[in-house]
Amino acid sequence: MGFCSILGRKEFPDFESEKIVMPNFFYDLNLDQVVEEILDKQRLYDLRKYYFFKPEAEDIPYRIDVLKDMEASKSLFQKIVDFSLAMRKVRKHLDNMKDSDLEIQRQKWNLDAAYYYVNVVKKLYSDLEEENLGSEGFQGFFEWLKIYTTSEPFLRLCNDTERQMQLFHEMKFNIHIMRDRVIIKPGYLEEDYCKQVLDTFEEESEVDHIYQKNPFGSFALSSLEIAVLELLQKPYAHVFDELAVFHSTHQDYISDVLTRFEEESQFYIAFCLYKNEMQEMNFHFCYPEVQAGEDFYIRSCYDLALAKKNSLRKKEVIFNDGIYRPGEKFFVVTGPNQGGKTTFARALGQSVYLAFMGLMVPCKQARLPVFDGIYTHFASEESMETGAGKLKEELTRLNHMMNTVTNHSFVIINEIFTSATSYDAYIMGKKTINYFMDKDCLGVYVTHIYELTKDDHRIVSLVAALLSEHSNIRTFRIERRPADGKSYANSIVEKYHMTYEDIKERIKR
Amino acid sequence: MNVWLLYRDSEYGNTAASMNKNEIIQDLNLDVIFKTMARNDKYIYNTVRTVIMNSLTDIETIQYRQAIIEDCIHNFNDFTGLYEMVSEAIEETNKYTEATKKASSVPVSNAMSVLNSLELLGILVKHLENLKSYCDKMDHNFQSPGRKAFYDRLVKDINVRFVQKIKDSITKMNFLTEGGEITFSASLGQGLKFDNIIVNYLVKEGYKKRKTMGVVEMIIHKIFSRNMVILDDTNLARDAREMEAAGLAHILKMYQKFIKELSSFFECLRYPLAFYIGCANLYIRFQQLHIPTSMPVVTKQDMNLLKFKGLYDMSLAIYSRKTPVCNDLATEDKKLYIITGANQGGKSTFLRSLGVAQLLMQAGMFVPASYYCNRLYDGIFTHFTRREDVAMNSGKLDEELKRMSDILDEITPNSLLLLNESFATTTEREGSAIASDVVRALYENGTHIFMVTHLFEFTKATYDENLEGAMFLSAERLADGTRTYRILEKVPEKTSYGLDLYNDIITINI
Repeated sequence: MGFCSILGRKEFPDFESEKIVMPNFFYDLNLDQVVEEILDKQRLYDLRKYYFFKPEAEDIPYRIDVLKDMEASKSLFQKIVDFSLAMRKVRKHLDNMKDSDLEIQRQKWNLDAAYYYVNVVKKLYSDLEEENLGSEGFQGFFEWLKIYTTSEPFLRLCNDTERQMQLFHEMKFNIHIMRDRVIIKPGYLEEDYCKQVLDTFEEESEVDHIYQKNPFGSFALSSLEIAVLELLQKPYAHVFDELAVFHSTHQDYISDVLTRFEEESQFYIAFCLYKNEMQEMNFHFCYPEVQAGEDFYIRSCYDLALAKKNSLRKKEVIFNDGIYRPGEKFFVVTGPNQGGKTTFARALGQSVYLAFMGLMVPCKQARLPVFDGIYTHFASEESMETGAGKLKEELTRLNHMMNTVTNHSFVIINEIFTSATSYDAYIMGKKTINYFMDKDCLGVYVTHIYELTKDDHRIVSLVAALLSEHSNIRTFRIERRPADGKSYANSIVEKYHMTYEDIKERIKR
Repeated sequence: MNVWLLYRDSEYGNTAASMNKNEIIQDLNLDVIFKTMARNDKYIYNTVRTVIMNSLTDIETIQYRQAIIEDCIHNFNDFTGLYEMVSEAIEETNKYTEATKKASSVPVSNAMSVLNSLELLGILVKHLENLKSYCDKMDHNFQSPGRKAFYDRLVKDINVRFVQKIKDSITKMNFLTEGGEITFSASLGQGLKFDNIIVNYLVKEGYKKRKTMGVVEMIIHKIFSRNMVILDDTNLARDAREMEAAGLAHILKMYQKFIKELSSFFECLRYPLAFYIGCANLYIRFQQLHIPTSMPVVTKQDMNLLKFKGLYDMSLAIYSRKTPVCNDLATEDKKLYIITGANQGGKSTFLRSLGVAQLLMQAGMFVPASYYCNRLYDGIFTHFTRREDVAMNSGKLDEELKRMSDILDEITPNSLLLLNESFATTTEREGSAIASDVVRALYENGTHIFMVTHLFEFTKATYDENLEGAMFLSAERLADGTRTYRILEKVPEKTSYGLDLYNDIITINI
């Protein structure tokens, strides 16, 4: 089977542009910020669809292997980055060609584009040859590239561009500007006025010439450039004749496979750039093991968006584990406000998402089943509704979610039914959790109703821990233990993180 | 050319941990001191403010500055003379650039701006020569290594040959006044655009002005001269002028570099001179008032020794024009000083005098004391609850804690923190609890703290802990209730303000 895509065994499908929108769960899980940041790393490409749509299950290991190649070899990564840059330059030249009004300039832009193109392709081939490529994706691509670079049309393009560029290289001239006329002669005068000035003041500089910028910055030719060109066309007629032949022979030479490879490889590049930045801030990532079955454990996970914010404010980031033992299906997380419950739920969700995209996850170790989808239900903060109105709004969304959720999905429900009485909230919560568990989903349920943790072996009770029984200092650690049902106070000191423990932590340098 | 008068091997050095500068200036009343140093010179004012607020953290640089300050005090006229010359050079160049900017409301030709730059270069070179000969005359007066090294570098860098070269180049370029001709070489690059452009040479126009060609002459040229383009087309003429202008601008860039270098030399020189003259101004003022100052002694970081005699509040001295109440202290291995006692007893003044002395010492200056010896701190921080703030309201505590929190973001174990009635914007119980957390965490971290406080519960609890590094001071109050404004070591009083009040108000006897 030939090479199709670096993102999977089949070609990545096309989507209508209006369908390329962020999935709803992105906003609840802070993934909107995370993915926006990733996309920001390579804004020259529209990578949204690659991040918004999940791949086939078989493509997850395919992608992880490609990422491993890119991540293991800094040089490979840089080579792909350079390749993309050069491809953009090729396209820029071709755009200039389309924009130009002057036939002779169009021909030259085409030649420049072709020259750049053959060099970038040859460079990519020799670059990849030096690399130890382990993934099916890269190996397949390299095989394809080998055939392409030895194909007859490509070789002819190489020869023709080389010859043409050589001819232009020899074309040099000097211009003498006077008040009422300009004298143009062939040949390059080596005398450099600016270099002489510089040498007066400093040690003799190493450079041969101090070049100045072309004052006619636009890609179109200025009158002066056209005038020069007209004068040069006579002595160099043969060069321009050959250029015309070249132009009519070589059109549309850029391979679709390469263009697609260039764009699709940005999916990995953007992620790596983002990941490296996080790693520089001392946040860990690992490759997830994604496999069929029920195994789900995640060690030392964290919320990427919050971690970045906290790190900028020099606040410590707490890592937590999420482990479902055989037969367990739902975490019910209780504990004090601002205790890290929601953050924990988000961290889990982010890891699940990144794992099924075939990327690295913000954990120290992760093994996950193949999920069918991610579904979330968070209290909408913008909604000013309270009481019955709020409950109604929540139930409407919950109803929609229950109707669309597929088996084997990952479900996150955060602080639902807060406006109902505890008893009602307990009953509704119980029904909700049971519904998703019966659908064979795994999930997290963040709540104040600690009674929900009881009487079901499929439910795991997790508690956002305090430093000690009598303290109200939050540790942001999520512990696996029975809920205690305590209520918790809050104070201004905590707002500024000025309890004794906080300060000790903050002034550690 | 390096000036290096503030730091031994750079113009701008590494400074201490970022301190809450604006608050320190307010809390320690520093503005009065800056103004005395500046004597109405705005530049000196800004300079001393910046230099003092960027504390030094190494002994060598402090001694380096101390020696130059001595030099400056002894050769005050030479320093001010030099300062005036440098200021004049800067003012003249500024005036010139402003004038040419104003004149250029009409766009100036590039040839004209090349000329302007040359003229400016000329001005700078002139001042450089003057400065050099001034320094030649007075060099032998100086003792400090910093000032001597500066002169040595000046002699080395500004040799006659260099100055002459610049002068020659200026004359050579002057022909541009009449306008000239310019030659470029280039090749055809991507998309047939000009590439690899260099200026080959400039040629002065012939003796007589070439007259513009007539129509017939043009036609003849067009037919016979293959290499020539007549500038009869307006677009073409415009492009040719643009090319010419770009070439001149390119040349201009070469000169700009030297102008920048020379101007920045003067700027770099003016800055430390302003600081030293500010120091000398302050010194002279205190001499006139017969108030003693001294060069402080810096101890090594690991020697935890604080000793001072006759320490007073400098801004208070400037106001009152006499030596204010002085304090003495000698301690070893202390890092927490808790100062209690009656209001208006001189506690805040004591805190300020210490902060100012430490700050001036870490700027390399003399201090308001007859003897002062301490180590250096990474950073100096102040957290003062100002009188007007004490009115209790919840927003105030929030604001106060925020300021404290900002300090905690920056403070290091080797910092000095001055607390003046912090956490007084809430109830005593809560204030004590907060104070105890903050102070204990910082104390354990190694930070040195001077704390003026009324928080009785906190003081008592801390005293009962018997911390080895803690010391309790109090504003002296004589038996008859008179305040001496002196601060002495004293066990904190065992009665709280609340109990007094109770006894005062509750008159019922059971």
